[in-house]
Amino acid sequence: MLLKIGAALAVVPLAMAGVVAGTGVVVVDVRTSDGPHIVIPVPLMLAETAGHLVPIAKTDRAFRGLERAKEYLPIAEEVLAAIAESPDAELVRVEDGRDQVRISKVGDVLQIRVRDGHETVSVNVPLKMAREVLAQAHHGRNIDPGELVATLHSARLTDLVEVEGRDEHVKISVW
Amino acid sequence: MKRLLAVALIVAGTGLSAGSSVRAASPDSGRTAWVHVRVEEPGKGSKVNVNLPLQVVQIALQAAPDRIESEGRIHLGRHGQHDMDISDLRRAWNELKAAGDTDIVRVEEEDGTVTVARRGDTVQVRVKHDGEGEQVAVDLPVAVVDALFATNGEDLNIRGALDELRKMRGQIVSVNHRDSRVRIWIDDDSASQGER
Repeated sequence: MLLKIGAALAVVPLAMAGVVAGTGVVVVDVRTSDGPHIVIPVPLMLAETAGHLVPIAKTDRAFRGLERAKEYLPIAEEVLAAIAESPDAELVRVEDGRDQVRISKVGDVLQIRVRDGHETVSVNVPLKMAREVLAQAHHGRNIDPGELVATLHSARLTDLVEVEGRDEHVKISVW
Repeated sequence: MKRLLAVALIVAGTGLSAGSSVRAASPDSGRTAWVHVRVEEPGKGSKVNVNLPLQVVQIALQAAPDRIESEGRIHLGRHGQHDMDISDLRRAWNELKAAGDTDIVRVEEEDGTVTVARRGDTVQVRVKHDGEGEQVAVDLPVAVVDALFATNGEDLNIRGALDELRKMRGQIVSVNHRDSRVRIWIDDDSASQGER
């Protein structure tokens, strides 16, 4: 009898874990040289729901600087679409002494790598997410964080951001 | 460096380009054409490499005007004292393009020369400034120049020139300055290093 109750109780967290794993998890991983190693998993569904709860009016600041650029947003959308369809390649590389910036298109992701003397920053921007931002800006809508988070469903198994400094290492991944 | 890059991009964007190795692309190649820009400043250890699909460049250039007008004049020489009317240049071009290889324009100044000449299927622009140790080589396919002048009045048809440029492969711009170098070329390889 106890075995049946135990099995029944175990089904609930197992099912929840399955749903979370199936729908994606954002993992924030922080390590410091002299501090703890912190790992925070956030289910994508939860992040998406929280994003939808952000008052849209609060996000209008993001597009304030884009007023003058608005006429070029349709072209920017087309450019991103063309890049998405083009073969993988290193698009830009800037080297200045010990500093380096690289932008590459790899699969469905725009990889940005910035390295200076002491720090390396890697950002992988899902092209779908970038196009969603431009589309929202183009159509005069405020950014909906929930919709942006939703685009991460197509970016599973991607390291979104990785910052590696002298004393700390931060990584945000989508599993 | 930023100034050089800007100049190079503008030159490439307006079709004022092409190198001695410019050739027509095979129409059935079906491969992605890439525009490459290299800016190097060896003294500062600076390099800028840009590799973009030609299609992306063409889309981006939709933001450019169909026509460029510079008060109806093309500026030649360092201080603008040798400017030419675009309509005069167009007339001269129409007369000279049938004449075969010939010098179209030659401007000699104290510290350098500017020449524009027809050589085979290309129009070669050469700028040499002895004082600054600067050499600019631009080779325009005749078809691109034809398209550039395919308007009336004091405008240049940039869009038409770009349409012709997409058929080309090879180096289109080379700028050698005393402490910097700019190259722009088109080919089918995203990782190409171009001609050295």
